[in-house]
Amino acid sequence: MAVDSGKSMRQNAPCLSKLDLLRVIIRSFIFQGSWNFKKMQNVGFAFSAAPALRRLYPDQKEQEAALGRHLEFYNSHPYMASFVLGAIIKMEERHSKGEDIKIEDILTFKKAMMGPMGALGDSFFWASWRPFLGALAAALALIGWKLTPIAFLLVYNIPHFYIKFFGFWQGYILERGIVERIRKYDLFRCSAHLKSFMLIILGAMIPVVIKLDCKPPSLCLNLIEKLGVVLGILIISEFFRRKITLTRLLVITSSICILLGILNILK
Amino acid sequence: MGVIQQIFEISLIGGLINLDDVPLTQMMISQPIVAAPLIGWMFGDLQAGLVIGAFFELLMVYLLPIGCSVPLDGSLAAIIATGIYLLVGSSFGGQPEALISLAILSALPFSALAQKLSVLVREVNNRISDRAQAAVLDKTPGKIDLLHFSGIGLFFLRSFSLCLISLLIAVPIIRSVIPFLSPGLVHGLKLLYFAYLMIGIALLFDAFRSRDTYWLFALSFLLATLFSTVWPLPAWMAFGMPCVLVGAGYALRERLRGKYGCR
Repeated sequence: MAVDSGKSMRQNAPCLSKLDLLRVIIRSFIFQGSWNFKKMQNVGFAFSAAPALRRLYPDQKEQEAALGRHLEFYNSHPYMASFVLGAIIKMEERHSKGEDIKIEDILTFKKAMMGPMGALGDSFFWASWRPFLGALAAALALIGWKLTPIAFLLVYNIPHFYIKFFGFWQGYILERGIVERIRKYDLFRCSAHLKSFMLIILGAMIPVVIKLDCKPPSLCLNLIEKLGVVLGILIISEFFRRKITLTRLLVITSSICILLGILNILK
Repeated sequence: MGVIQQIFEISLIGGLINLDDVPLTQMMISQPIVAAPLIGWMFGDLQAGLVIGAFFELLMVYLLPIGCSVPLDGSLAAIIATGIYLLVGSSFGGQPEALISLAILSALPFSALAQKLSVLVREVNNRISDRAQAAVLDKTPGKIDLLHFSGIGLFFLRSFSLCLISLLIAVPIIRSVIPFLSPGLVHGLKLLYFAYLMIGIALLFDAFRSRDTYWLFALSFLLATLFSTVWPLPAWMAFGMPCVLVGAGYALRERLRGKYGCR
């Protein structure tokens, strides 16, 4: 599929307008629309890049070749892929102008960035930022703050939109230099700090949300019983450490609680 | 408004919200903490939606969609649980904690079913990928857009139909069972409410704990206990003050560590 025509500098090669780039960014919000096991986000990548590729390669054959080479296997983090998408669009633009950049270079860069961007995005967004805000939002919701969902959405999407728009733009401007820029963000260190803050939230959450009405039909917990709850949480977390799945634990706990209720124990 | 019409509406909105989970935007509108309150607010009980959303958020937030893994669908389960709560609530009487755990318990199997259907959708998407490549070879690359959107449509169909079927099955069954629930069983469901909360916290604690940071958990717990029992403060202050105090202490410690390199 990859055909390098080795053409000389084109004087009248089309340039990408800001509108074209905006269209790519907007399309990148549907990056995982047809996520599949075989080639993962390949269609999403080609779909997102399509407006730029169609502009850069007015010739039907070149356009098909360009779309075809971006239908190869691709799997990364859907947000972090914006950096790569920006850089790839810039490289394609330079290639279409006949500058000294080969298709192999473009594809090698794309493949080389795929894994690290995926790992970085998974580690920061999926394993730190989302759980951290999720736990905080859950605590606030259980306390009864009604604006929790809106606050969660607003705060969560600050880095998301930053990466989608500015990340793409930085990728487009810096091209291969984007690697150095991403390193400066130090997302792994941010993840480590978020994990520590997460424990603070969990610790503060227990006495506040597991505080029952203290009216006769409900359970009422004093300090000792609250320590008992913490002990219970530590024991349950030990189960998880021993690789008991969430589903199994939920089934076991549900059965035990219902049995205790039926047998009138702990009333 | 008839129950069937409400089930249809919840399923339609739920299916649209669930699109955000994978194929569309991923702005986290589909996270349980947003999706469940949204359904609750639209159908008249925001508070129940908030609580159900919080529970599913704690239980499912650390199930990570990394690589090929397809985790349990907490988003759709939260929507279904909220739907069950809203449609069954009037026939249960004043036991919100028991009804919430009954709704969650009933919706949990559907999260596993949604996971299986997600796998199926992705397998069907393999064909979309093949067809996109064939479209390029057939010189009809314009088809790529259409194929990509068909993947989104397929995901919507999966979420909508599962929501519809699960509510059509669960709501009448739960409604007919409620009159026969003994007080003991209702008490068991209340216990389950707190058990779910503990499991959710334990799951996150297990995921984030490390030897270096146990003290953060212990300190914020002790401060929050003091502020909520010994010197009772409003709940938001009892929660917020330990977070701010311990968080500031941790930030200062890290800053000093960075500045002086002390260990």
